[in-house]
Amino acid sequence: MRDATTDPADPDDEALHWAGDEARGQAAPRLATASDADATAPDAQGEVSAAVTPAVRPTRSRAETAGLLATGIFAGLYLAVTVGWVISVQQLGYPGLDLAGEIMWQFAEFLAMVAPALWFLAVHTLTPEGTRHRGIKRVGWFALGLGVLVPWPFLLLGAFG
Amino acid sequence: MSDEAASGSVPETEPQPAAEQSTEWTPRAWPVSAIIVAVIFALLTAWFLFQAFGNLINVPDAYKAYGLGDRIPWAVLIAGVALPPLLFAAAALLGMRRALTARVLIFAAALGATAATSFALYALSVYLVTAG
Repeated sequence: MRDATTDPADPDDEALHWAGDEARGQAAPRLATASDADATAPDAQGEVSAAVTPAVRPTRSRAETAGLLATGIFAGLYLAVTVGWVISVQQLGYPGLDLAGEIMWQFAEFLAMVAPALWFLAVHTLTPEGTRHRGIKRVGWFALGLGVLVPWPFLLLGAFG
Repeated sequence: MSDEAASGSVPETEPQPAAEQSTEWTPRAWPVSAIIVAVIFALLTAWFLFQAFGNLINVPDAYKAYGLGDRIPWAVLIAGVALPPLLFAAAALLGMRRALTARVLIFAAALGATAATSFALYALSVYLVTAG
């Protein structure tokens, strides 16, 4: 933690200082000075004083990085599945003649197109921050969704039909 | 949380009763709002189940009428009946003790999967007839 002493004569310090900060035990921010650079420089033994060590930038663990990478890969795959369903519904037609069935068929086509996005969001909801074995659970749910939502109409009747 | 505390009329510094402080609030498994959401999605799922039962009853006769009695896709027809209730039940279980928005999202994902699998089974049955 930096020493928060301020110089009242310095206009920069004055602008960043509120009256009564010292009384409340709060440190007013101040601009870096040459003495700060001296303090953070290694001393004769090559060590930086712990009291003036600058704030460490938060870093991601390898597991978090792998989780983000896996989520990104699955997001791309789910996007591909969505495209597959958009193509699929254009190859299918309602085989019946009744109006109610036609309406529900078109509603189901809409549902099939948005199903990958819904599944992706549901996996995020089911595995919030702090979930035990979050990465494995998330990857498992993503993989299950890919298996369930394979656009078979496109694969069977379109691409290879 | 008490009504007074929720309305903000009681200062935060006022001590709460000991029993209220020690009791941790846990969401109910099935509040009324969640039941209403479940009923709406159950009705939508029921449509797919109704269609699947219709296929299970009518498709074998249609296949026989066209001389395809030996190629009735029983596995596809039974999967069509089994999947909608399975997906709905899974969504209901996974959504328990979660926020209403999370329940809606999980039910919607299950309904989307129901629709997608019904189309997939339909395409598979068409493929099995035309490819053979």
